[in-house]
Amino acid sequence: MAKQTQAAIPAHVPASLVYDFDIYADSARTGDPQAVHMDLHNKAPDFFFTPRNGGQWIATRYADVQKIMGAPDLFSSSGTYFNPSQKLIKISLPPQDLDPPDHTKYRLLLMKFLAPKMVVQLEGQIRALMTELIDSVVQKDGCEFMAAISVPLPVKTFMTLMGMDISRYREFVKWANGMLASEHWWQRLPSFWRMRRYMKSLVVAREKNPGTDPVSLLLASEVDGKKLTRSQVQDMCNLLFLGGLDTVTNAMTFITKALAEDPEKQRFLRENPDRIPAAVEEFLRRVAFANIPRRVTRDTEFNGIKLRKDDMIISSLAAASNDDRSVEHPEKIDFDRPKSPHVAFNTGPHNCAGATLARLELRIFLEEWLKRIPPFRLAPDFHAEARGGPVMALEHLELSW
Amino acid sequence: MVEVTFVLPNGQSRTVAAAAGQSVMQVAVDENIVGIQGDCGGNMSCGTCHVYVDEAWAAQLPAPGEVESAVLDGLIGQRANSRLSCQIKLSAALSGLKVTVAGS
Repeated sequence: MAKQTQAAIPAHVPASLVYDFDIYADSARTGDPQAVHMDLHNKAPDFFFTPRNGGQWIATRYADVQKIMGAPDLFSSSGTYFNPSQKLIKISLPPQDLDPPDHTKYRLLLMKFLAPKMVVQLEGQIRALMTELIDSVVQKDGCEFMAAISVPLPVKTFMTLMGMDISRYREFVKWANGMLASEHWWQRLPSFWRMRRYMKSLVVAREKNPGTDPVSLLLASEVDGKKLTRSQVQDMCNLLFLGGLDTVTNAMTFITKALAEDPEKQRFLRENPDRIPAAVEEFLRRVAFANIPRRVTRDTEFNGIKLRKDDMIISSLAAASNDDRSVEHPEKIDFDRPKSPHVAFNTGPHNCAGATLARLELRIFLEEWLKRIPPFRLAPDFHAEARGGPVMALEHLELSW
Repeated sequence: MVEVTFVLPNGQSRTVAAAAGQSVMQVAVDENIVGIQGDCGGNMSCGTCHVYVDEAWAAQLPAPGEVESAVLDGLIGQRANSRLSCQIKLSAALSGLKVTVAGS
């Protein structure tokens, strides 16, 4: 992908804090986005300004990301964008783009079905989905992991969670791929519109025949004494779809690549499946892949650095989760760490609402995959291709066993 | 200094001395108490700081607000004395506080 053009450096940004980094092209360049982001600790100031993508600050340290995410009055989730072209299209995704106190009200509605008590009820269904997907590859001697496993699993899990018609899942996967894999925003739009149209029809169907599913729960919910509008419910459904899709896909894919490159860890987890939950946390730390935008709400100072109103700050969760100031030898995947402090799910009030579900999907994936698939490695002709931006990803992952 | 005792899921106890004004969650994270994560940094957006407050102390704490109550209702293993430890602010009056890590 070609590098974006450079914006002028604003007057309030000192030259010593400028480092040229395109969060799209540069993240993807080597096929290992986490390595690129970790390397920022060596190459750039902790908190630096890049002229790419309209000009943005980039935060790379765990303590700084905690500060930024913990101060929504200063660093807002509204009016954020990754590059200026996104300003042209207003897509509302409450409550992701809201700040407290409004954020909290909508967030509590999501928690009605994303809370641990609810998510735990999905375990059997998720395991059945995982089993079915593994069935499709177990007799072969390899697979393209994303198409076979890591794209379908979260799509089907989402459809199960929302009480959708799973027989339409291939269509959903097509929309998901269209939205996530397209390089340019105009390529993503047709899929987004199709998904949105489907969600609308789902909401209408639930209005007519309410049940106990999340859409029905949202339709029956109130905020500040008022029922949610159909439009608000639709927007939240869009967020749920987008929130739990490529994120889980990428977590599974990056984790599987790490395991493919480390037969010793595969062996250890096969022999000690009770260590899988701890392994999931350490993997998430090491392969964190999201970059989170915030908009500065007023002229202020951050660590002695002048920020102006409407400055954009992107927090690299990969760099922050692999910060040698908070974790020893962050590049090492070590299941014996007493704690794996990370921000793979972000932190602050916008900490991922789907984290419990994601952790469940990842644990079940590792349990079933390691149980049934023989020791696996990267296919001989595998060459890593990655994507940068808000959610960093691999394009494909060919495995052999 | 405020003394706080954490009872771990395995039954072991750890007593730590903490500064007044901190939340119990923050103390637990600083002291690497297993089972208390504090993923959301004390914003009632994760539930990973779930504790059971010892009955001797439960009544001394201000009651949970609406948001905390809603989050507690969604946790596995919720009990009458469940609290989010990020919402328990330590003061001298709470020295000797004992909580059990819910680990869920």
